Amino acid sequence: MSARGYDWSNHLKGLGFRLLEIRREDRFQRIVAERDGEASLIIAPNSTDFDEKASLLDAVASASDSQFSRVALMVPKQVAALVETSILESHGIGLMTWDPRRGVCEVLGPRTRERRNRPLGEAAMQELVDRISRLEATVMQLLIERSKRPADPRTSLVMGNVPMGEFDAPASDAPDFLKDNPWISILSDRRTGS
Amino acid sequence: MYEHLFEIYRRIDAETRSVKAVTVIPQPLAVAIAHKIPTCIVLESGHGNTQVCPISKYPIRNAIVAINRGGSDANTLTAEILKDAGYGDLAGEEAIVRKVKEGIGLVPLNLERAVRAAKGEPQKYVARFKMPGTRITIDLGEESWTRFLIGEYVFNPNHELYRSYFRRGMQRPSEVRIGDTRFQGMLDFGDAIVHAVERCPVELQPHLYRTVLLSGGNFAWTVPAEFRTISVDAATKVRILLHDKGIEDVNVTLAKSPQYSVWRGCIVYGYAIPADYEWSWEGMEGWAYLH
Repeated sequence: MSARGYDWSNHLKGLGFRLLEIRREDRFQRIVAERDGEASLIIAPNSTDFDEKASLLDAVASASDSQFSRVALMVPKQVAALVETSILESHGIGLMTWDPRRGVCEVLGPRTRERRNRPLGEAAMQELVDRISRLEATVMQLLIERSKRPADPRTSLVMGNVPMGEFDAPASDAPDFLKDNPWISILSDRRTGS
Repeated sequence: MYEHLFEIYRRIDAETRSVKAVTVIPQPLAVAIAHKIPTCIVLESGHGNTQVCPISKYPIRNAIVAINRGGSDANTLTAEILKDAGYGDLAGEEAIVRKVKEGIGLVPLNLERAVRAAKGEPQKYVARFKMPGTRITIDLGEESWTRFLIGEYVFNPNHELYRSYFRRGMQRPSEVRIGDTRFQGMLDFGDAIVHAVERCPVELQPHLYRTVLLSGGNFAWTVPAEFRTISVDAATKVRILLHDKGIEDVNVTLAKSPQYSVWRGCIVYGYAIPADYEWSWEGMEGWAYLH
């Protein structure tokens, strides 16, 4: 069992988190997720060999050094007993466990820590610039891909950002029962209270 | 019923958080949507019952006519016919009875004429059926004229020829009430359509008669080439019943791909209905959001 490649998204959603970013590193994954308007950093060690406890200590150290106001450690359920929760609690670090069958469980909630207002070093600043550049490139790529795709009225519906009744016709490769179906415009005009 | 369906999905969502919203669509509406017809009558007939639903952009709920008669009633009659023909041992086997109904049952253009013709030339109209994959062969012989009773019974069970079956204990399709709906037993399909249409606004009635859509397994009646002058398909039978009531210019069609039409209608409905159209118990439409 390894945290590498594990799909956290759905499990974290069940705990009220919205997954923002996962950075997969050699020793652990840094998962950035938002809950109640606050971003949290969750550190999940890749290794499950905790006999030496090195990777666990490594993860705790990394978590405590974080700039995030909320930080939690995520370990496989069967090794949770190795973690001394009172130490984590004293540092305001939360503890989560995961299990391939039962998903993610929050054992100890993280305490909101005061942000350290120390100035960013040159390396940290460069990292931020790099991340912004990567994000810009990703957004540009997505915009290009979207402009090539035929319009999908369902997406607009789900997002709720298209005025009612202004439907695009189904795509040309849509099934016959959708094409030229007068019910599409009739049903799209349905209104609450009408 | 609706509350129960919502509750089922509420429980699924509580466990899996995978159901965002639910809606319920009357089956006739889904059929009309799948066939791209906004104004019509949908006659939906299944195993146990039949309903006539006028639709004009919405199902006209207070005009729906429900009938406590479906394919199972034709099975009951087929079982009686088998008993009379000496196949009492097979009459209790529901699967066999259904196969026999499908294999020998015919819908007559005119019941009296068909029975007279079949009694006059029993060899021409002989009802013989071999159960696929078995040694069972059924031959109604001199009673082959009864094959026309089977199809007629679905559409109109009021002919005096059925009385002898009722007298001998065959259960007559009875009137029942389920919830607020009264299911009539003996109403013929022509009368049922007329009753439903006449509960709708007068200006709408001609438009409703213009398209009658037949849906459901109970309308899958075939017409062998040699009997084309005496037996008809379901659409023609309904047209004749309406003609007898003085309703002309009716376009009766059998739903295409009946096994898929309900699903297709549901897909179009889910695709087109606005996401912010919330469920209303008055309109019985919209999305009931679960989370």
